[in-house]
Amino acid sequence: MLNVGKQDKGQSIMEKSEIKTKIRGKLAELAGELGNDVSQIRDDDIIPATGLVDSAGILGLVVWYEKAFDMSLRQEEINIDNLGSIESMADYVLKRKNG
Amino acid sequence: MPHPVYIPCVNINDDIVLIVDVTVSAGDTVRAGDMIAEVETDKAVIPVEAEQDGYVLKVLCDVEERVKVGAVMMWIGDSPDEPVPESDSTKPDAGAIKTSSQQPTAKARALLDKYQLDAGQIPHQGERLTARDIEAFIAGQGGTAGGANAAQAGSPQGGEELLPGTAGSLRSLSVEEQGMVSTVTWHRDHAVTAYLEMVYDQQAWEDFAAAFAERHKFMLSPLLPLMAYRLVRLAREMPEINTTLVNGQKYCYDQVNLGFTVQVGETLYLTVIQQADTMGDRQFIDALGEVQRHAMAKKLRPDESRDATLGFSSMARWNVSRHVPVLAPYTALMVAHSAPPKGGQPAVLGASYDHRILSGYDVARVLQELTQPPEMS
Repeated sequence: MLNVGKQDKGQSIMEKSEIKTKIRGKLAELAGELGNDVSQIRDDDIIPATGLVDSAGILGLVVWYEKAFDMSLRQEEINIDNLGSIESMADYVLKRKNG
Repeated sequence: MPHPVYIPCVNINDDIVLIVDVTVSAGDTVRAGDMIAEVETDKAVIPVEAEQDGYVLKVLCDVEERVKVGAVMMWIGDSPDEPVPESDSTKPDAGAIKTSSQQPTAKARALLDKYQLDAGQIPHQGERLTARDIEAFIAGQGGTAGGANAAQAGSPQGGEELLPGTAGSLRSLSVEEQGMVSTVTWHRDHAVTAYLEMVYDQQAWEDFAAAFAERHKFMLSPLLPLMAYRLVRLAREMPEINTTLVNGQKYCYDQVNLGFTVQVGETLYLTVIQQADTMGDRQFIDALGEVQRHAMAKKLRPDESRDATLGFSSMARWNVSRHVPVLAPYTALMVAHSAPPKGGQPAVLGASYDHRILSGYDVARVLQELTQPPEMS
């Protein structure tokens, strides 16, 4: 579990980078199960629209995300605005932890 | 005064559960509602919560240990130094779930005779063993009283099976494997199953789902949940598909509990949305999403994996072009969604059904309706 808490600005940027790396790693694992390569995906690409992971894979990503960052999501929080891209997923971790 | 925490009875089929986690130890303070352990039973991991504030006095079970339902798993006291009661109270049968040492009711005795059951093997909550307890027990065994043991073992038509002649070894089934055996055994022993299918153009559904997803900013495609929800609505219009057959009579469910298959690793779960017919489309999709997440985290609640009255299954993820699903116990219909073929060929929507209750015409009507999305609201 990644420890994300209230940080000063400099530390938050570092941690966001670490968060994104972890998300990308998990995404690569899930896409790899379907024989897809996520090395070209950009941080702001909309993950479902890339077609690199299917619905079950995205569900797996969300379940992992909750556990990895120790936060429980309500169903209505699971939407494109909050979790649509690597960037927004990392932002949402920080928003929830620092909010 | 020390308070016992009992191993919970989650599923009447499960006399034994596996301790998968104990999150407290002697000396810890707990508050009512705190999770103190997790137990694994048929198709689900169930949290055990403290029922009152206090101090953990003693933990009597270990992780990975198989323990009997009703046994005392730990003691919680009002102060940290209370003495723990002696061993009599920790015997399994002293737990909340009693076995029948007391006198069965007259109706219960008649059922025991009828099904040749031993009262001692049937759990019950009240002072006396009742007919309802026995009926619940029989239902939990897949309705196979008298042949329950043989049916559970999956052996053909009862009787002891001989070991194969080739060298090998026996191992116990996991709870998931036992659940699968129970389901397919009900299918074999009770339903008279038939299957039919219909070709259709899935594009209309995909367009409908894409518009729905955009409107609600969904992360996941709602295609399958929307099709499952359509089935739920059809069950209100055609209540005969939401029935089963019990003792030669049709049993018409008052609510639609939609069973929806979810594959997690190597395990297939039949997750269940209770009272799905009382929900709107968005509410149903959210409920299904939550249950799917619980399944993936192996934290299904008991009510999220039992009492399906109708089923929906998809194997599209694995590019399976056709599958004939097994019926869930006490259901009459399981719709089968498969992967649409490449090259614009029509997709196939199938259904297994209990031919004792439903005719091919009934099921064809359902599939005909299901092949088209509802009008966009």
